[in-house]
Amino acid sequence: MRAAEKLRPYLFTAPSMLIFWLFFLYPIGYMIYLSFTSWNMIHPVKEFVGLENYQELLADPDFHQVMSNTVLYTVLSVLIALGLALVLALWLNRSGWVYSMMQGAIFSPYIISLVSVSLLWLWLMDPQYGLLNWLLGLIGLPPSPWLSHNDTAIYALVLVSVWKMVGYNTLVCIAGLQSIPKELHEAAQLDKASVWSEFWRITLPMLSPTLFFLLVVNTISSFQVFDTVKIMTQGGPVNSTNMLVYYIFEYGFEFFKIGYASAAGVVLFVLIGLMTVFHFLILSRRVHYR
Amino acid sequence: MASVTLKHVTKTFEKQTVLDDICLDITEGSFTVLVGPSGCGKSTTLRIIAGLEKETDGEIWIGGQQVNNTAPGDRDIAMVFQSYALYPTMSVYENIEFGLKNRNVPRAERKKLIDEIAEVTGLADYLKRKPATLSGGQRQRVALARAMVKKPKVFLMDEPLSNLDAKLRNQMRQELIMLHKELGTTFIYVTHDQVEAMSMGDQIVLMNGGRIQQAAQPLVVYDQPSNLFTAQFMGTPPMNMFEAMIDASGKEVKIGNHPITKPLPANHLAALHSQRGQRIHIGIRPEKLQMVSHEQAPLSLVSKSDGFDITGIIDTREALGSETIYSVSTLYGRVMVKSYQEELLRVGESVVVYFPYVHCHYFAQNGERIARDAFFSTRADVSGGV
Repeated sequence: MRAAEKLRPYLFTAPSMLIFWLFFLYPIGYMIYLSFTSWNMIHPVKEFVGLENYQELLADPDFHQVMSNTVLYTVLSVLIALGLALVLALWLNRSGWVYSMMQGAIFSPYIISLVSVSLLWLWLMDPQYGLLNWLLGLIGLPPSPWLSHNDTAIYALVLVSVWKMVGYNTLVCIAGLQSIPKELHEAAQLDKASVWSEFWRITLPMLSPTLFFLLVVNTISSFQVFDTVKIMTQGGPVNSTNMLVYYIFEYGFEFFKIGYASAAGVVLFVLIGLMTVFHFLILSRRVHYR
Repeated sequence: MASVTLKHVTKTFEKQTVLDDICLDITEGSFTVLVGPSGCGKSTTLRIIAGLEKETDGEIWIGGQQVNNTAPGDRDIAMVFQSYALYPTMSVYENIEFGLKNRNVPRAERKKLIDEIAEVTGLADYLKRKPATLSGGQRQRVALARAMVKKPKVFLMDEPLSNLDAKLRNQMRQELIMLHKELGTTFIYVTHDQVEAMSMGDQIVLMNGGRIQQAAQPLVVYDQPSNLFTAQFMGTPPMNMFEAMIDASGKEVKIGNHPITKPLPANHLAALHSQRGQRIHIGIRPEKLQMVSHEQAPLSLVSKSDGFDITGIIDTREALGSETIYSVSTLYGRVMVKSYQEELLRVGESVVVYFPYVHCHYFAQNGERIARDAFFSTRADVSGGV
């Protein structure tokens, strides 16, 4: 009886623990192990090489380019997708069928698979036959090379990412806005607050937990961008859109340098971990939780 | 200080009438309590005065100025919300300061005003704290301080005490009465609690179904309820109400099928003359009834003076310490009796309940009060809380 009592909590948590160990902890551990080896996925022996992969990685100018691409892409898409979502949420947080329809329209990209999204935008951004250049032409602007030039390609990817994320962010922001008690806005009205000061002193602080959540989630997902790169640019032109996960993919599954790819994977893992810790340590102080 | 006047104010919401032709005069410096059951429109009335809700029709005047199109922040009013609505991200100091800042009061003056208010409300030690770290009573004080610091012409309070425990509520009630005395500002106070209404207001506005039922001083509302609703809303337990029938001659009165033991006095019959041949309601407050056990009845005052009586049996007894509430079943139906006698009567005991004529209220079939000349109360000019 006693033993069964003691066993019970472990039994209850066993299914999720099993999944956690099997599909989270074990792969991470295995990746870390592989990062110290040289292996091509076929050879029966994984040769232990110590920190060699990391040395090689840090010395690779391509890797530096990849890192700066990833950071630029993440910063831009997160800031724009969040800022835009906040503006849209403030605008669309009303009742009425027009607003409901707009909310639905803005959210719809989120439910489309990224592969379809990528193909769609590939077509929209076609330099010769694409809709975007045709529109630019209509208002008298010169056509943009979009994905085909190394100066613009990464911004084109940012555009796609913002288009995809903003609906979800907007919806979450609207939910956040609606959870602010109505009386706070009324009290502010009675306190003669201007629209501006009501926004800065009441709405924004009350929305901070929502924005913080979105910031963390968006940063992580942007850092792991892959589908759009794979389908739309394959990292090009001239490596200008090559980003960390695609870089790992290339080394792992095209060049079969598993050890090297794993080392890059460990770097990605550590970076995202550090960023999240940073978010919680530094930014969360400014977040007001009810 | 300012008076507040509502002229034919109507509010409909999605085809539902929430307020129906409200006309109300609130005199400068008064403490007016809007009271009524939930959904009666009292909060809506307050919110319309504040400008947080737009009236469908009618005029709102504050201090001799029509404010229908004035923004809430420019009406020179302050409001205390039921939930307090303190800004959770700001400290107590910032909460109180916010309204002043928006009115461009210079920093040094703001500090002076806030320090003064903090002293008065006992918040001096808590100015740096966030509202979440304060107790209910302290939050209540912050809400008051935030309203007071603006030195408004009118204070609006929407059930400000309902989130406090009973003891604190009593204490805050006293403090609000004192505060009103000191500030001399017009207070408009919404509550569903008749005790708060009776104890605090100089004027009670009793509402039901979007209409004002009676607007008068507390004891007038209590002693001369203008209709059935008012009579039964005020007082615990509510006024006993009996359906009665006056015969065609206007002389004989029956409660149910039972003629009352002694005929009503002439002046009462005269007042009821217009109702002859019709049904009326006779009401009497539980504390105005007198009750003795059946054996003692012949000896007591019951038999001698002017009133009628009925025998009954005590069903339940609630001994509350200072008073005792009995429920008595009689031929007239259930009668609630509130007694201040030291000696308690037993449940199951046979008793005589005595109805002094002087305390009987009469209401017509449509619920309106039937006034009669000789009125029994001289308490009318006493207002609550003063």
